[in-house]
Amino acid sequence: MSVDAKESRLVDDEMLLRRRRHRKIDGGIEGLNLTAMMDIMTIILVFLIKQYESAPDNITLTDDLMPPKSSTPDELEPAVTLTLSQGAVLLDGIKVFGLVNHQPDTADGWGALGKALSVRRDQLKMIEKASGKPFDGALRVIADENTPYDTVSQVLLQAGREQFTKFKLILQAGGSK
Amino acid sequence: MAGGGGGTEDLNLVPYLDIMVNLIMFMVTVTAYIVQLKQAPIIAPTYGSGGGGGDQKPFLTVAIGTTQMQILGGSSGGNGAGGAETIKKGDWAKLNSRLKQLKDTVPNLADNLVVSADRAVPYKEVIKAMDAVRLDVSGQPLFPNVTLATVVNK
Repeated sequence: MSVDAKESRLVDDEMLLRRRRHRKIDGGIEGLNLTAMMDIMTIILVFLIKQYESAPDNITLTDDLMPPKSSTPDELEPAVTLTLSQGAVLLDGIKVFGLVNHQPDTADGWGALGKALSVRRDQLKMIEKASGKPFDGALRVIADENTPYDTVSQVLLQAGREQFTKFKLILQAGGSK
Repeated sequence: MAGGGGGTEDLNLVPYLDIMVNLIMFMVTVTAYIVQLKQAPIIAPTYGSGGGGGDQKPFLTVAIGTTQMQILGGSSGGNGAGGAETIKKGDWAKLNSRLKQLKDTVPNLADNLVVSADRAVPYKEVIKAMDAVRLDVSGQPLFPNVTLATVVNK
């Protein structure tokens, strides 16, 4: 940088400082103070993140999967999730088989679900051995409201046979008492 | 070094503020579409020989058919709420009040109630029945423990 340029920069800085000092003495508008606004925004953001965090994970509701409304007050707890939509049965988000007229589209029938559940149970028991986290047999069942009871019943029956005995039906809040 | 020797300038908060505003708008929009979900624990029927069960408390079963509902009484010891009573399907208030009467009148009635349904009954009606039996009109627990009966294919 040349000497002239340095001098010119110093003069600019000095003028800027003088202008700022001048404004403060006059008591004029100094510019919008954004710090307070930033504080508010941060608080709102933290609140929204906490609210989002408490929302159920990986449960996407569609027209094909709309759980019935209920007045039950219990909050969701983590567990193996079995989803029973109009068109498919999913275990922890992975499709086990499709459903045609609420019946399995595989040759194994409901037994295919039993096999998938036994694999998952064995995984959880291996985790139990390795980490000490006990296998409690909890199963969250999310079923569409128009699913016939026969289909729900078959799912519970298969799960019960594979040692999943603590059923938690996932329902929409807001049903009448 | 370029820019060296310059005075300290205030942190420019405007881009940061833009990001924050966008994030907040995103979070507000997303949370508005989240459906609040709850869970209803149920008791699964157990397999076994039964082991006599002579001292089992009398218990009730609510059976939901395609056109009507029934309250069935029973106990392995044959010591209580026997008989059956038919209620029009969908009359959840009547089901609730009748169960309350039975709970008040039948001594030693179990807190556990069995809900059974016809194969073709939609799941939502089973849930409505569960809601109707869980609490009475004053919000007191009526039959908080529900066992869902399963249909076994022969």
